[in-house]
Amino acid sequence: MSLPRVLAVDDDPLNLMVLNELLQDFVCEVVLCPGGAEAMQCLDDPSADFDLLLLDIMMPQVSGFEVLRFVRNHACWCDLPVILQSALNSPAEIRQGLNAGANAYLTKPLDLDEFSQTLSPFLQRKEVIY
Amino acid sequence: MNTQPYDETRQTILIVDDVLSNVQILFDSLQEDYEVQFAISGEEALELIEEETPDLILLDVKMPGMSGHDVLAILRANEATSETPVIFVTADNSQTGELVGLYLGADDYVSKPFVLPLLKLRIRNLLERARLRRELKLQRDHLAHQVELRTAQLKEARDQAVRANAIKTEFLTNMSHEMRTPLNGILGMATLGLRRVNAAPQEKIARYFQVIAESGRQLLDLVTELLDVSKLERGILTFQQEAVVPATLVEVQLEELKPQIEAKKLKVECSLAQAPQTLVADSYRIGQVIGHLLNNAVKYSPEGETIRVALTACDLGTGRSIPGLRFVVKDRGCGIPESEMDAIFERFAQSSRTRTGAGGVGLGLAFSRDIVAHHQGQIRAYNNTDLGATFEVLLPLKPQAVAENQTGGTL
Repeated sequence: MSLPRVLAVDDDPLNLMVLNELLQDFVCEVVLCPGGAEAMQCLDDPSADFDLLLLDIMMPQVSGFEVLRFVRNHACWCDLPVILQSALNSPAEIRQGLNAGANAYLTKPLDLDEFSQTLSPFLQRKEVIY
Repeated sequence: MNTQPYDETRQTILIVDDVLSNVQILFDSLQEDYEVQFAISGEEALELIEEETPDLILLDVKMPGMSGHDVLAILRANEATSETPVIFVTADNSQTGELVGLYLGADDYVSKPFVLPLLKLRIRNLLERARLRRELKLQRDHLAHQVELRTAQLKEARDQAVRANAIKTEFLTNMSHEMRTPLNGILGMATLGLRRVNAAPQEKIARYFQVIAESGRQLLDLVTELLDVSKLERGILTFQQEAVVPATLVEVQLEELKPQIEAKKLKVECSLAQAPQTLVADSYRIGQVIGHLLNNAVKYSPEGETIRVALTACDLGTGRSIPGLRFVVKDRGCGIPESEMDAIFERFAQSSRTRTGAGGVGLGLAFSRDIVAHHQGQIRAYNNTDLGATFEVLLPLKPQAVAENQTGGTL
């Protein structure tokens, strides 16, 4: 059986590394993506196979909201679980994110425990790390 | 009867009476002080009044055809004459006559035979009151105009404050993003490192520290940028004057951006062969400007695109020659709405096409413009005909004051 696949999108390369590290607590395969346009390209590939999308909001050119709209309107991906992770942290922004169809919203800096709890419905935690 | 020359500064009195001898008496006694006209019927009076409104009307009551009462009713109903002083001058000395006359809106009522000096005083007083009323009206109109003007000014000031507030809010949001992004790197990796310090291999822990250090540097850059802008605003930012090799400045900045350029698989076409050999400037600050423009181009160009960079010599003088250099960055981003071409160089402003997602605090272009201005240069932006925008910096090779002193000229 193949591992669940996670697409992690963030325009900041360091934040992308943080996501990659955080996801190592989970049984999954991680695909890193440096921007909104690239994420959309990735998802548009007919052979693409993802079980979870971790999405930054404030990115140049194509924002996370645009990617989210693309996903929700996409025949293949409208049910894909999407977790937004953003530096935008006001209640209004969080509400906007959830209203746009995200399954969960995490604020940066990410809290490790909150991250684990939020992802646990979607991914299985590793029994032993490393 | 017509003896006095017309004097437009004098006030005009219209006598309306069907009996010419009555007109004559009044005419003779008033023409010394006033411009006097007369009419021998109500109809004629109204015609004259329509041509030009007199300052006061002496009106007979009993006339063939239109009566004085009829005339007064029409005058009071007309906006132009509703306030023109009217004195009934009539043979009717009954109390009823006076009652009716005043009831209809006459300002005064004088029965014949009248005492001339008394009539003259009544005329004088009425004219004076009318004059005061006019003055009051003028002042009221002036005041209304002033209020209108002031209201418009206040509205403009309020609009400006609203705009400034919106820009401030946006700035704070961007600032929050710019700080939280590296903080996410620091806190994320530090917390992970603490949890995994015993279990994880050393190389992994070393990578955590790398991310922490790099994120810390980003935060420091942000703080330095803010501090620079603050210094510039307070006028305490100092500029060096040193000989620098312009091509090296560009190469250094491109080298710093290498990771981002590679991450986005961007191609950079760099033309430095035609660049001037030396430039007298603050190398650190001009490097910042070049770095900022290159960074924008990298940030806003989609993956795999080509950024064109050129450094050439040029002449900035009109008339006499001022040797200069021209630095151009052509990106393949989303371009700049024409209406925002000037605004993008304002502090805290960001183009509407980039502000939703790009981050950045909106200080870079404003800071770059100020630095370039300190070097007596120019910075401008325009959209490419096909795609993206071009930013251009023009700098004199030497600050002009220095060049002038060397040649003994004056500014």
